Amino acid sequence: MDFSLSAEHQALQAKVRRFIADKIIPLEKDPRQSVHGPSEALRNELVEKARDAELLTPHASREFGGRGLSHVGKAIVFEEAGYSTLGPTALNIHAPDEGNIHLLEAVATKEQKERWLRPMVQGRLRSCFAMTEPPPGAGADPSMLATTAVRDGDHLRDQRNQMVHHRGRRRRDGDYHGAHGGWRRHNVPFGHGPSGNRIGAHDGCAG
Amino acid sequence: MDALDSCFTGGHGVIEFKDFRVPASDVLGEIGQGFRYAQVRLAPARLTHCMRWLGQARRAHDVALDYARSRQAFGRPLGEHEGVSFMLADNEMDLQTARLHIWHTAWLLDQGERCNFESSRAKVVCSEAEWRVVDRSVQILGGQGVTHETIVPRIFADMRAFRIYDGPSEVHRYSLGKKIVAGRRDVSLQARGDA
Repeated sequence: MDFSLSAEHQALQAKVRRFIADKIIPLEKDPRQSVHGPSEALRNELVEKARDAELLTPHASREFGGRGLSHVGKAIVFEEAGYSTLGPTALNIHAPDEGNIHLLEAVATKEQKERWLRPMVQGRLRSCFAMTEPPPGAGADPSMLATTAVRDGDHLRDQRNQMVHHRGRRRRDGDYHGAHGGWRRHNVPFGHGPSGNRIGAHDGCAG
Repeated sequence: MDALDSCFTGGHGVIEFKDFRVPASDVLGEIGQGFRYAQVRLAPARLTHCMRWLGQARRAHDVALDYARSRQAFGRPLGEHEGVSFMLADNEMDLQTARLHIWHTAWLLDQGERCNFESSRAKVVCSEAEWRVVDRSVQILGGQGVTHETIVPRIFADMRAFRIYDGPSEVHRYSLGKKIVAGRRDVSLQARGDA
């Protein structure tokens, strides 16, 4: 049983620790924060700092511009990033983008990866994760999910009106990208869907 | 929608899908495989929550520790009073317990294990242990712990949701319990060739 960290992991741990202490913790009292989290401007500034330090989106594959971290590598880097409330935002490793990036790498087509994954890894696109529904839909357990979709020509159409609670993520230019956390998962370009779509923020997120 | 946490850019909201159409080219993966894909995403994502919040718990502990070493009460540092020193010791135990669950489960994932059982277990252990660390840190800071003079109350408010999202502790305990009754054990304890 070997709990020692590789030289590479130790170096990365020290690098992230120094980056968080020197560049991110000083911004923790930045006024560009509200109950809806860091503002878009602050978020972009944080991401820029991580990009400059070559620490942005380290969990993504090398092919898409990350460091291709192993799970143990993530354990080291993410704990260090989490030392600041703004660290995971800076490194672009916060929920739900971090998990969505993992899923897109595993499941998306080549075209979908170019459209969604690459800008997410670059820190230029954010995503959301829709999890809960009003009664009788899903709450704590996804096995209760009630939102369904049916095939309609070359489209899928929603079958039931559902409101879902999600962590809203807005792209720089105002597009939403939603990875719907249902039994069927869709990439939903929020707000810019084909004509006839209604996907509305009932209770919008600031940012 | 305002929430207790304020660490996510954009925060939380409510959206409605109505007459919504998704082009076939935008469907992620194969239709009907959503639950399997959710597992692809959720097992590692549960663990990455544990990692980030471990950093937050360690920060809260460090702030409280700094205070316990410098603040004098009755002629000695706060940290030399047993009530406070025991809380610091308990924090250390909880931090290390969480870290070992994370490292072990991460190592198993790196060996190619699916870790649905192990990541579920780690999620409950870490979310509860890390929460206890932050709660004790508030307690050690005393009156200052409930003001925004330090980052600790901010971490306190942000972290509470971790015991709920990505499956509340109760859902994971229920799921773990069912698997345990069915004979499931930690994958490390299974002999080679033992399914």
